[in-house]
Amino acid sequence: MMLCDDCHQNEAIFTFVEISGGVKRELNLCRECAAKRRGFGPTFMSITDTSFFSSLLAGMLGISDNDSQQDGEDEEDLRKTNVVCPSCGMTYDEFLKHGTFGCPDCYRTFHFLLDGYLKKMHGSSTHCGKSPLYGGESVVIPFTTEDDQQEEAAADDGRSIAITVDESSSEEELRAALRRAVAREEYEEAARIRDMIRALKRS
Amino acid sequence: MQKWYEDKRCEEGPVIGGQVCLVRNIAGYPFSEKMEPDQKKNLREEVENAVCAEEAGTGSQFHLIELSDEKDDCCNALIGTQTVPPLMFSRTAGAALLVTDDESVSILINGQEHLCIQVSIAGNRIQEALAKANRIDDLLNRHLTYAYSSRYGYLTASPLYTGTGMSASYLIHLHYLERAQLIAKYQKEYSQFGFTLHGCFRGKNAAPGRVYRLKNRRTLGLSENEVISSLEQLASQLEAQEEKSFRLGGDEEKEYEIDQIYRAYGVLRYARDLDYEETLVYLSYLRAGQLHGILKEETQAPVTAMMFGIHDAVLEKRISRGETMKDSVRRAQYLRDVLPQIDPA
Repeated sequence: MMLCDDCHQNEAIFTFVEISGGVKRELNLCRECAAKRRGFGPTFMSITDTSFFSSLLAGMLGISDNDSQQDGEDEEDLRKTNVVCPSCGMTYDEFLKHGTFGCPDCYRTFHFLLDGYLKKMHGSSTHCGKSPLYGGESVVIPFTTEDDQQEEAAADDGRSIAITVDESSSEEELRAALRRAVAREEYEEAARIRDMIRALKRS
Repeated sequence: MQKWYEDKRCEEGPVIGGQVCLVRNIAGYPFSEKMEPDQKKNLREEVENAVCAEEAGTGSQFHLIELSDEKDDCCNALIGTQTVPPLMFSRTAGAALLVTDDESVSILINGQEHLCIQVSIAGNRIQEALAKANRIDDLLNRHLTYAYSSRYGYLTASPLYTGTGMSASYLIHLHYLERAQLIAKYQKEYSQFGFTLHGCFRGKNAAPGRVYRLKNRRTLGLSENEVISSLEQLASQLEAQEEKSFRLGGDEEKEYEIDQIYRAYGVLRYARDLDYEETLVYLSYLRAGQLHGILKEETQAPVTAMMFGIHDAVLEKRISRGETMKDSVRRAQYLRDVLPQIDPA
């Protein structure tokens, strides 16, 4: 496991490789230390414009880079910094500092910045894996941007509605869930739903 | 009780075993860092009740470990044997671990996230591990409502796990690939697919014992099956490359290799004082020698079990620390006890 070169405690998730003058330097940082080191100081001199790296990293971490801000963005950021999660009291700054959310509702509170952030981290900001068999959505997050709406429309219909099934579901609901599971190639889940349908037919 | 890593299937190829970890949080509570002690207590009770109710369905029997009460040794042993993912681990009040006797299933409560279900399995069978983890997840779901949104998937404190909340990995022994200095190449290549390849055991070197963990990084935008399928493909590629690296090299290199393997066996068999990382180096040679038929097949040493068993904290459980016995001396004694006699070919 690669440890962060700064704090030597957390796992390093960023690796910076600098090749200049035929010399290669590598720096492995965890999220927290990378957020602190937005520029590169004397220990990691670069002949390239340090502000490029700074803004690249800032972009990845969602920190606003003062050098490239426009007036409009200033106001936008001010609005963002004033947002507080009503359920746990987490602020935008607190989130950026720790890199972790305070409660599930934070995802709804800060959803306006999440798409970009999650896209950079995972390459996508839309879930297309398993959904819970019981309970369904506990936090409803609206799809607000046009891009998201287009994505939604283009995506598989079964995915946009979180239909959850349990023993009390009707046969139609179970069949719909079965079709969805098969389409998603979740055969384990499909088998479970099939058993539920059989049990329903037997009773 | 035989541990999962003592299973013979751990010795069948470069792949030692697979682990699937599902991270879940319970709706109605803030995430771990913002929780009050009584909230943690309530959550823990809910989870324990759920596990009790569904124990029969899981096919496993769990025993409870109070992490906040446990000594350092026990906690280090749990991390050393890969029973608990180190990034999830916590010893704050309320943190507990439900674990089976063979350590193949562990449920961490009130770690960095509310719930972390980990299933470990010997050999090249990650699909089975996923199926088992999903089954346990669904059984607990009957009693616990998970924090979930259709847009972002399972909601977690750390955005690194948002989405599927699944961290799937293979533990692979890459003795010859490391010798050929190809690890960095695959690390770079696989990071583009969203997979990391890092040393499994902790130590001063990057990968003590040349055992690596191939793990997915992406949890959003891919389904669990897609990730597992990619993981299997990449692991299979690494196995093929490991075999290829073994076959490369002329006769002189092969003779040198055979010598190194027997030397390693000799040291392990007769030394009286062995350092942890040094031992892993020898065990790596031993395992490679066994796998490629350099050492006789009849005397199969449980090398993988030894790699897990030589951890200081694990030895403490096995042979209690006498006042005068150093950890390294105890390690050497354990190896002498466990290593079978291998006749030279």
